Amino acid sequence: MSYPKFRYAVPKTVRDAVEILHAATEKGEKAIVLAGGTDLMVQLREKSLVPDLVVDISRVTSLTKIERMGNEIRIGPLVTHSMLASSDLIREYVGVLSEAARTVGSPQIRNLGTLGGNIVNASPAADTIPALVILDAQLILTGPKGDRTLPITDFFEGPYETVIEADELLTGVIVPLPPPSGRAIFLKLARRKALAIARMNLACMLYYNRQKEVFEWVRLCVGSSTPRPVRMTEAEKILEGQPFTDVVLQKAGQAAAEQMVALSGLRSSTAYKKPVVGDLVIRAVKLAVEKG
Amino acid sequence: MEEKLGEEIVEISAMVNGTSVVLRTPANRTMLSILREDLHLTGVKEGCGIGECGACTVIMDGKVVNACMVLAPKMDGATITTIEGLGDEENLHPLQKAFIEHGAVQCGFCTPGMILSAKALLDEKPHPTRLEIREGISGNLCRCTGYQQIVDAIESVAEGGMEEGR
Amino acid sequence: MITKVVGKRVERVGILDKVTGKAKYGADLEIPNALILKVYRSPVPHGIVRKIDTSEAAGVDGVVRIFTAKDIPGENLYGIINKDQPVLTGEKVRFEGDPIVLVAAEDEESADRALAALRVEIDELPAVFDPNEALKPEAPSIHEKGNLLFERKIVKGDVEKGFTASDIVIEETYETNMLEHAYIEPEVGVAYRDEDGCVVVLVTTQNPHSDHAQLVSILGVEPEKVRVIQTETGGGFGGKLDISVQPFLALAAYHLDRPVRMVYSREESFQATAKRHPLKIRMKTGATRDGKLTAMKAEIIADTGAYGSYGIAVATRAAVHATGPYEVPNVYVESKAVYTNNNWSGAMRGFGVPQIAVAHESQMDKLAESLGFDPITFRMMNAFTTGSVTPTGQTLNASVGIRETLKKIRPYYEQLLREADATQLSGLTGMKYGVGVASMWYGIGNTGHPNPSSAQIEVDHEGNVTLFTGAADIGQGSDTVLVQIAAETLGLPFDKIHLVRADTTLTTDAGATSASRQTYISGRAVYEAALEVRKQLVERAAKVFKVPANLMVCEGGFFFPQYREFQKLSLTDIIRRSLVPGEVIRGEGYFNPETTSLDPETGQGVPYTTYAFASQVSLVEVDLVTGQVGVVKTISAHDVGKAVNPANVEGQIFSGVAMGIGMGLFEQFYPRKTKSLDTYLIPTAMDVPEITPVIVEVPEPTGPFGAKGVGEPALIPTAPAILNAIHHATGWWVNRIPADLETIRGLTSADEMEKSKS
Repeated sequence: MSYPKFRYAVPKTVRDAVEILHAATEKGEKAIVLAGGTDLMVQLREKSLVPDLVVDISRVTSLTKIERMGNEIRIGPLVTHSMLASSDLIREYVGVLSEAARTVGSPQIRNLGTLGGNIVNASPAADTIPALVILDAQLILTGPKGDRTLPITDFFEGPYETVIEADELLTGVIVPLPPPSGRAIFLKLARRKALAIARMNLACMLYYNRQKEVFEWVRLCVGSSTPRPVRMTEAEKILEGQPFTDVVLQKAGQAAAEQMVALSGLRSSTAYKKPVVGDLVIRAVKLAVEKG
Repeated sequence: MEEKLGEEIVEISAMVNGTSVVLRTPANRTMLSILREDLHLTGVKEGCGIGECGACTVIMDGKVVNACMVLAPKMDGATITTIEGLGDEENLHPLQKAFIEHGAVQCGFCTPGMILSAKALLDEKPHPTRLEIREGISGNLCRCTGYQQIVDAIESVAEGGMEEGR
Repeated sequence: MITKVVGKRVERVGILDKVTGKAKYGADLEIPNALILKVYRSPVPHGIVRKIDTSEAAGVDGVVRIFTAKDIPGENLYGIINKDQPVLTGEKVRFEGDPIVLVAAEDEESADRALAALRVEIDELPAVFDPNEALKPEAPSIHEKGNLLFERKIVKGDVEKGFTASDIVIEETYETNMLEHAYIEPEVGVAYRDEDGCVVVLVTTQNPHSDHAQLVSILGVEPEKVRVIQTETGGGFGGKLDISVQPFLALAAYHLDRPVRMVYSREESFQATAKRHPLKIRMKTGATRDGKLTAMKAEIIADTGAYGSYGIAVATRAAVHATGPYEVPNVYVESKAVYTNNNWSGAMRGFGVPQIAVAHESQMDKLAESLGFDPITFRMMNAFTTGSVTPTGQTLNASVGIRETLKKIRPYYEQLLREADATQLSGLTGMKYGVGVASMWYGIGNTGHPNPSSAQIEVDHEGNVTLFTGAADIGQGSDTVLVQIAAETLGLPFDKIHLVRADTTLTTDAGATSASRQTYISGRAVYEAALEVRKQLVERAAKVFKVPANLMVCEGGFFFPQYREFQKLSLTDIIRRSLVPGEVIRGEGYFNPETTSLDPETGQGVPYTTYAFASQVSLVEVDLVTGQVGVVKTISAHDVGKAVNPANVEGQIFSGVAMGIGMGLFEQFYPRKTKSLDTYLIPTAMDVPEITPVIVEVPEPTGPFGAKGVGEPALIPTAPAILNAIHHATGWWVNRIPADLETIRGLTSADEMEKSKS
């Protein structure tokens, strides 16, 4: 299979990268950003993407760091899934993201694929996104006019559609440290046990107060179920302030299922996904509570 | 900023199987095609071209990757090991020996990639459990063996240590 | 019998090259100056080709030649059983992917550009994708002869009387999936014309001599003007029995003065090659209260897609094996292969038997449960034994190991039952554990057709021993097994034998690598050749020792007169003393197992000389919430007659179980939708459990050293064992495969609905 012809640029700094993207855009050219390449290379092979220019940002070393700064973890978009899975900082403070990254593709894909790529590609089945959503992550986009920061949920417009401009680059993912009381769970559901795209995935973090016997707070996000990633706020509301009982859990599951259908409409997959969303929410909440 | 943004032809300088390689190539190629066509390293196989089968697995800067998922210019500055760089008939790597001893090969098309995944796994985790071995080779599809003799082979090297081969 | 090489885990032939990356598959062959071939394929599933305008494409830089149907010098039709498939179609397209134009270009990019520049006008016709619809009189006709490719009937006893005499009758409908072989090496080959004008095709194949015959007919040339050489082959599973790139390579090499190369991308391999026939099966089975099967009736419809390929064989095998390995006095089967506009279905590991086993093994468990027997006991009560009569009226005289395999899995079955119970108690909410059993039988070789293999062994004057076989080793290990048989018979060490294989100029026809036949049939041909050589060597040795030949002993590569071992001479010594330079000792071997063709009305006859048998038990986990099913453990006992190489036999068992897990749980090829390995999922190392292989050896008198076959049997019991285990875990019968997320979760939801009502 031959690949489409394009020019290739390999900037070393964010500034150069943005300048190149901007200049190409001004000329009316299609310029695309190459990070790990695990999505892009497939699109090039299929020729579903035919760029004039490929801007390879993998040499922009400032984008490969994982740092803790005060009450937040800053993750460079070039951090790979393998790095997320093995990083002590990530595992200690935002383990759910590490768990999510561990389920991506295969060892080979995890070594190449990046967090930034997973976000910007905006697949509804992306494994890291539900984790980032419940972690209240913020994204930094850098364009010719400077930076803008937005909550991750504001980044997506639909499947494979985001608000990023053609001359903007995702340059940082900021994850505020979750409260130490929080217990988190990531579940992935796929047709086989490895090397699989999520049929559904779910990230959940909650604080269950054992003294008061109530959920103090709950954050839930189910991937591959809604047109763009959102928190399952209806289910969260039902749980918060309530005790850990089957009746409450059932209601929360039901609410999550209904919210999914309200956002996605009835589709051929609804017959499967609707009951599963509900039951998965229940399972995740139980597992999180069992974590102590 | 120069008038022309980017280049259609790029120069790559890489260390492949211990040999330094310099070449010029159109940018719109994969590392897989460079390794197979330009460097004649045909132990790197193409099975799907979309990162799903693992037949083109090579070790790049210490990590296993699908060569079909790497745009050729990304090879610049990289250190790459293919099956040809692991060992030859006079000097087999312990994993190659173990694959022979355990009959862990049938059609053999997945074998080079499988062995490289096993090597990267053992480099990182010298004493994996059988489940960890399965996880470590989960990006390498094999349709012939059912994996069991492969897991046996890798486990035998993990148990016996592979210091001599490193 | 004490053997020295047979029965041993010898190192596989060619394995050193495979672990070092030196083995040359088709895509690895360096052919200087080769042109690249690419095919333009129909974008619609059914239509009439109105116009092919190649003018613009011909003008693309780098394009050397464009071929259409009219460039085919011989017969533009092929097919392994019935010829109905054009190499390049000039008139009608019958599925999305039918080849229309072949492009030869300097490089891939030029070829791609030429494909984009072709203008092909097709008048679309209504298409039919369901075999039941295709059989209706108003259905669009895909082939001139109509949409029914073939029907096979099996009639034994009086099935209606049998049901009347039954205490219980169970009737159910089963559906199986369309599958892709997904060998890791896609189709590939190179071709050139040699100095004698012979078109030489080096290609990945499991059927070199059939390829040769078909190319001879397509090119319309003398047989010696085509040579097919098998390259190292990266798996086949039946998918490389039909020709793929071969006719394109041969056609271009015939017309052009340049070598040519063709490599299917994975996407093209998916679109353009055979699939496993999906079957719809209606099966009715009766038994008496005391557990004896009385009657079985089955209606089978196989979707053979756009072309026949092995459709006839699949419909026949499914019918012949429809009872399972059990004696049933009254049988009636109707099995049809039907054309549709789907991708064409052909051979895939087991030819319809893995599909029909889903039906007969589910029926067995349903009957056992209703009658209150455990699954092994019920099978044991009905399993074939020596003297049993099959549905085709064949009396089984030897090597009937089914009961032995059931006995072998019994203790594992009990142990897994305990494990299932224990895990159930400690497991996560929503998880269920269950144990399932399934058995199978499988006739070795082609069904009711002559099935010969041949082989030669030569010893030259320097003592070099060469085995010539046409058998294609596609990874299953026939090279190793055949060399073992030759070495054992000749009394030589394994590594003493040089192998020449699968080259239509150097080797004679050994038949296809299919139907689990190479060890049994080609193995026997090799054995015969070796016996002949051994006889001649003994005669030579007798002359050297000046004793009568009947007093010579040949052992471990040495020859000596009886009681005079101290005088022993090696093979090389004997050869040096008795052969002049240029002289060779040559042995020919031939074997064609006895079969008779099946009666067209009743299907009665002897389809195979021998059968393999197996029983398997699996522990599965079922996630009621997500619908995911995982296989936790599998024990699989196979009667292989004799394991010529136990490591190879085990490798086949592991392989078959893995493939069966994909078939049973998640593999599904959707015609016109499934493009590649991202959506067609085959099992990873994480999806396959630890497997315990159990080798049972009930020798087959006509097999080499008693051997039969195992390649396909290994797969067959897996999916039904999983379905039966799901039933044990959940109480639900799953009557279609794959038992995927939606199927299982659908059953959970239905169950919840039911419970909420009551």
